[in-house]
Amino acid sequence: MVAVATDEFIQLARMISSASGLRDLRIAVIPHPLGGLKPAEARTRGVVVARAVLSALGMQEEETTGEPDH
Amino acid sequence: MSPTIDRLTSERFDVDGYYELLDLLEARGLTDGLPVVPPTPELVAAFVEASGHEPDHSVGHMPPAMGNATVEKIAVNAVMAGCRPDYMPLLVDAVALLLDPRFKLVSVQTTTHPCTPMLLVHGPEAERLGINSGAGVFSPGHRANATIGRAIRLLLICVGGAVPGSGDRATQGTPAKYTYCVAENERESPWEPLRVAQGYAREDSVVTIAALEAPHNINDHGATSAEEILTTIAGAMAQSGANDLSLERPNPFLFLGPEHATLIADDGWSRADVQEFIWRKARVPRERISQGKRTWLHGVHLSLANRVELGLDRADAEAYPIVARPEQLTVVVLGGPGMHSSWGSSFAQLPSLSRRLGTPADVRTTG
Repeated sequence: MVAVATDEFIQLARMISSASGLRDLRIAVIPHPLGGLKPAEARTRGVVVARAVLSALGMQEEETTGEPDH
Repeated sequence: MSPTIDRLTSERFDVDGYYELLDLLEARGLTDGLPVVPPTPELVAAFVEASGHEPDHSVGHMPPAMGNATVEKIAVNAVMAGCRPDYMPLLVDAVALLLDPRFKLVSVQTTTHPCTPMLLVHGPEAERLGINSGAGVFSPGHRANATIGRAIRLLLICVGGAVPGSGDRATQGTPAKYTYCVAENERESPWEPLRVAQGYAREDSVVTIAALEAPHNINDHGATSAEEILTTIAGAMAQSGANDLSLERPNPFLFLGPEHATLIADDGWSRADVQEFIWRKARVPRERISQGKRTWLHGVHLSLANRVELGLDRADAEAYPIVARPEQLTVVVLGGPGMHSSWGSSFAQLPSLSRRLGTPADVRTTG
């Protein structure tokens, strides 16, 4: 299981997971913000999110930037 | 010396003076920014005893930090807030309601939206405790309103960890987070008391909580009929930025001033008529909402069973309602003389909850 949080909210995510007994919860950290992204930015961000999740799962090296694969 | 003192388990500090205590609390993030009454063991013990519970009785764990909300912790924060000991039974019941899983307190505490738990106390206990329901109901000047609401906020910070910027992530927040506790003006309400409309007995005392924004004023000195005044009210409530527009779990409150309420009731309109009118008329025209937000709303609205009836089945609906059903709006009379009312826009992610004070709790939901 992987949770996703933006870098602005990672402290809160860790507080909640720890207080809920999930100290070892894997959290994929992605850049803030998500709201207000233009469509092209959102597509690029989607790739970043996907890579961050795969990295948190130990399935792929994390890349913090990237272009969409389409 | 009270035997309860020896049963208290909170960490104790020796401080040289009052201002050192304030500095200590501030350094630990245990503050709403205002000075507090020092929670000495003697005072805390007296408040615990006034609650009717043991000090280690746990009401639940308060998110996001999941601190244990024991009666002792409630007493510590009630003392700090400046409460009277006889507010304790209400505070314990209110905290239990806040921690009801249906209220989703973790979301209320951590959201970027400026909502905060509003406490509405209705019934004989509200009058006994001196909770203001009349002129300036949301204003300073009444100890019960000021300190009961403040005790709740201190608990949310000190036990729940809702420190602004970390556990409380409100983008701007609201001054209503300092205190938000009022009583129904039952004497000047033209309708049956809210608790009776909710299904409780008239002799019951009830506390209602809802995650609301601060009240937004609605001024109409010119209306002379129910339809006129409610047209202004519906127009004021139809706000492009309101969370209620999502219709996920809207539960806004309409706080009618007694003069507005009397004007409405004198035309023969019931509370249910008001709810029906607002449901029908408080709708935001399409052109007042951004295309991006309308697209987002459309996605949320797809789950609504009555979206066709509401005209929300198309991506570009004509108008967007504040509530999906009339009963999602709570109508209560508050305040004193003057042609003003207000409304509290809701977080719209969870219902408002009510419970009878004492036992059995008999919890009921709206929204």
